[in-house]
Amino acid sequence: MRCRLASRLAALGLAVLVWGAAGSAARADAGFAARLRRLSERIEREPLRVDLFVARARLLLRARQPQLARHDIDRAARFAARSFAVRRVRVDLALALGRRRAALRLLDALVAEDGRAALWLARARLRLRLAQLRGAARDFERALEQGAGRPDDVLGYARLLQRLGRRSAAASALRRGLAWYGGAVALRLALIEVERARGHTDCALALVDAVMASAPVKTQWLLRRAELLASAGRLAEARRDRARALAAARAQLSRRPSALSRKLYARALRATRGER
Amino acid sequence: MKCRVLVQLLLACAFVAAPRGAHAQTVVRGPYLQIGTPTSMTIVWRTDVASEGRVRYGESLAAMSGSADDSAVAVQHEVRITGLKPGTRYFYSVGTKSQALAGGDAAHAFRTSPTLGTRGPYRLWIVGDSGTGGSQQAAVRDAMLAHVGQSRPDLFLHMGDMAYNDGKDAEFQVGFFNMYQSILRDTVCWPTMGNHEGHSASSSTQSGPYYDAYVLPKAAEAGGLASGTEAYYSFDYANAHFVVLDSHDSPRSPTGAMLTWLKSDLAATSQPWVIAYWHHPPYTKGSHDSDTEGQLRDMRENALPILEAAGVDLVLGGHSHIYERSYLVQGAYATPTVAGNHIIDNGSGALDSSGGPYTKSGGAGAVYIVAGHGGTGVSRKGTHPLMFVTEAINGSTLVDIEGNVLRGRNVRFDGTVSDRFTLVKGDALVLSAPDGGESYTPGDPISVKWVTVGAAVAKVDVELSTDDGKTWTTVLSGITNSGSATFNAPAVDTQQARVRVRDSAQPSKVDGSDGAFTITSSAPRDVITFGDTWLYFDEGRDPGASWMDSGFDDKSWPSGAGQLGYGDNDEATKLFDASPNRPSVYFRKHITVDRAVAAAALRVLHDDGVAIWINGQRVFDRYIQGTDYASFATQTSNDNEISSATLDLTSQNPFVVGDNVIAVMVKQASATSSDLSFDLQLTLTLAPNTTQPDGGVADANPSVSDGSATDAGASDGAAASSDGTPKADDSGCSCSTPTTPSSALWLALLAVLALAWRRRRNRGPRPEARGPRPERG
Repeated sequence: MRCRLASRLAALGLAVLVWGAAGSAARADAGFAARLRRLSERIEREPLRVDLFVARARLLLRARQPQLARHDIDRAARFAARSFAVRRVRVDLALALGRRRAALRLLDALVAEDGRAALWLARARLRLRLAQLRGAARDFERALEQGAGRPDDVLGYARLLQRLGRRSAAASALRRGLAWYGGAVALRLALIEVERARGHTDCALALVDAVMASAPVKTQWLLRRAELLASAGRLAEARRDRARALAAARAQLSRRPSALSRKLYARALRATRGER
Repeated sequence: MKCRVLVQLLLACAFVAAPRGAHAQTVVRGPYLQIGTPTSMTIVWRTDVASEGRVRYGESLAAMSGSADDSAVAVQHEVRITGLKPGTRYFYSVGTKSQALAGGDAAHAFRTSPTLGTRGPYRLWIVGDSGTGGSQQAAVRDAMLAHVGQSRPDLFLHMGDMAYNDGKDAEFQVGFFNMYQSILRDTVCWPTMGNHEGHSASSSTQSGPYYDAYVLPKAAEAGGLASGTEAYYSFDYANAHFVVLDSHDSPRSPTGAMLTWLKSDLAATSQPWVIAYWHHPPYTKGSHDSDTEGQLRDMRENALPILEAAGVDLVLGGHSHIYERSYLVQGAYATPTVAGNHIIDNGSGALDSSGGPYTKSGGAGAVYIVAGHGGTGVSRKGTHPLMFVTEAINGSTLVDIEGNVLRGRNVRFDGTVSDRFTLVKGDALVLSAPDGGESYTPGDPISVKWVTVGAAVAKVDVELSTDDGKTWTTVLSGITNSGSATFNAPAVDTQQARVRVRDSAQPSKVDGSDGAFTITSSAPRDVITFGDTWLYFDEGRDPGASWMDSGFDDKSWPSGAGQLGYGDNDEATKLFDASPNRPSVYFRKHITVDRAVAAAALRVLHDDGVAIWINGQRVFDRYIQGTDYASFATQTSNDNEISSATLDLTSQNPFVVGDNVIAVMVKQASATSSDLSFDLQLTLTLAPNTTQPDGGVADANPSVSDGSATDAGASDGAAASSDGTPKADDSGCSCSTPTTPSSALWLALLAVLALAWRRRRNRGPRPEARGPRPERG
């Protein structure tokens, strides 16, 4: 009974602390304030609920209040130090406090136990920031094998592989990404560059042609095509595409006289005149 | 032995005759529309038990011969119909392969997108931060519906925060699907994720209730270039290209996948208009501050330069609980935002102001709108230097596009239009009246007003359509362009009239009404107004189960003028103030109509809960669950809270020609509440004049009379709608499979009775051979 009372008092004290110190963040965001208030009220009623402390810690971390979040995490750890959720939020706390190596140690332990894709991704991103490129690449690979991640993660992984001189692996990763993400243009552009760097002009051209087929305005793709052809020494074809790009750019400029249209028109004009 | 055979036979018959699945399958969400294109539509719905799904569709209710299946056995059904005709209306129903569960009526229909590049007109409804499921959200919705009348929006753009507080599945149901069901079933919603949905959903894995609910184009299914993710996407409609970004949970870096895609997508569009939206607005001083918050700042600094370079015209957002609308601005990316030279046009953008509409030349300039006022509490921190209008009042925004003219307006929750602006590209004639929603009777003068933007126009033609723009008749030809003209409304009955003004010398320069208006001898009229007299029953007991029916005898009820109630000292008729409170007070009123009712809207003043029946059919309630005498309201209302509703008469019309009874129950929230209030306004639109049964023509000025003096027992139409169709259940939902006892159930019942009879006969000592049951340790 005394223990329960002490827990309640401690929770109440922490709630007051959270309220006071998080005031500025709360004032900045009415939604945050309401969510914080609801969580604090629930913690007051149920001071032994680990998940509530973890939820509030996450909220405080989002509001850039790591010191307050730490109180909640420590409190949660008293009840469930081995809890996955508690240990996961500790990683975020360490990152918020700028302790990247400590965060990596914590993640290492979690990855070893769990192996879910989100953890591999988190560690890959962290290792990238720590310049542990090979380790990051391995982690990305494991995460993406499980189909996790955003197009950004595939892009990050491919860029990393290119930095490591593994262009073929980068192309392979981007192709897998394109299959997962329905032909995402950002991945397609990256793959075109990788294929160009590998000297696979026809592959790059096929990628350009696939996206160009569905683009109502084709200027940017015709210019890219011309560059690829020119770098492969296919100058006549390149000239033809530059001329088509200029015509497309001119039409677009009259239809949509925006800065982008003007820029693309200028680019097409320079390209047809042999300037870069 | 014979008996056992009989029982087995009966059970077998019952099994064979029973429909497969003992549980009557019910649609629990939807149907709603997704990824509309000129030739396809995706229809989504959810059932309470898993099954395969089928959509039946056709261009008329009588010929719904098309079908498309979802062969997966699931509760969430997503069926894409392809091979449709552009700009065409299709009726549909959803269900299983063997039966339709919802739809198949006039309310379940969609119109495919027009052919790419079509000049319009078309209408967008923009709502943000709405997902409370509360009365303010409903008022915002109803105000929009009342404002647009017949000219419903073609697209519903949601700015995020549609399911408070955490974007959970149940919150989506209450805050979004239930609230907007009548809109979602005929209008495609194109959402962006808000931070509250982000509490339960992840863009990284594209999972969670937000991603479960929506089917969005990630492979350029509706135009644009493939983003590869439902988190951000683009689509085309008519002559506009829409870009939807994820400001909450996708990387916002200029070199990230989202903004890389954005650059390519914008470079590839040939559409004259570009409209972009995401949740966190780049400019605001509402409940959030764009100068201090990361996501807002990221989008301003990283996304806006790309969008403005591509000539974006309109940028929409939510998140900040307010309505803010900017001047025509350009290039304000720095933090903090200052007006500087970023305001290209410092006028109001309104047609009637001296500055006139905003005009875009050379592709520069965009209007920014924060529409975070869709239902949740509103507030402001200050006034943003780029904003022309700032108001912390709930509402929503309508945008109309026709050709090279874009018009926006803010409709407050109470129906007031508090802001209007127009954006024009190049030369144009811009019509300002009639603008939609007006009502004329034949012979009335119709005043047409317009503004000339850019090059001078010498002569104009004025044209009238009575069929929503399908056909046009010139009513004034080659008149001098003075900016206004008048003609008399013809002798027609239409709710789909539009006017347009055209340059006589350059016919492509033309602009029309944003919405349809009415020419009819049966314009909407208030048949009950606040302050009218009501019969009431405040005796603190149940008046009887049929008190809401038209045939109920209410002759002994006293009457009094509205407002009726007690406790606020604003009542015209004071009701009995008991302590503790009586949970329910009852009101009745008779009205007579001489023609079918085509449309009905009500406003009810209540404190606390209220439920309304028309001829015994429940049509509206607020804060009420149980309708028995002893139940209290589910929550306390504001003092004299006013709720509004447009009644859906498409499926079940409760009104009858002749005597109609409006019955109202007002409930206290608790035994200790200090006040009770009631008053009501009912606005009816009668069907147009038609030939009467005796061969004559109905009175040009039809009567709708307060029938308080008529015989209350005269009605005979309480249990059927005016067209004689059966009535829906109280919720108005027509999604449930009928549960009438089938022959199989009767057979099963017979079998059970026979079994019971046999057991009774066989009752006696248990056979020894079975042995004793083992005892528990």
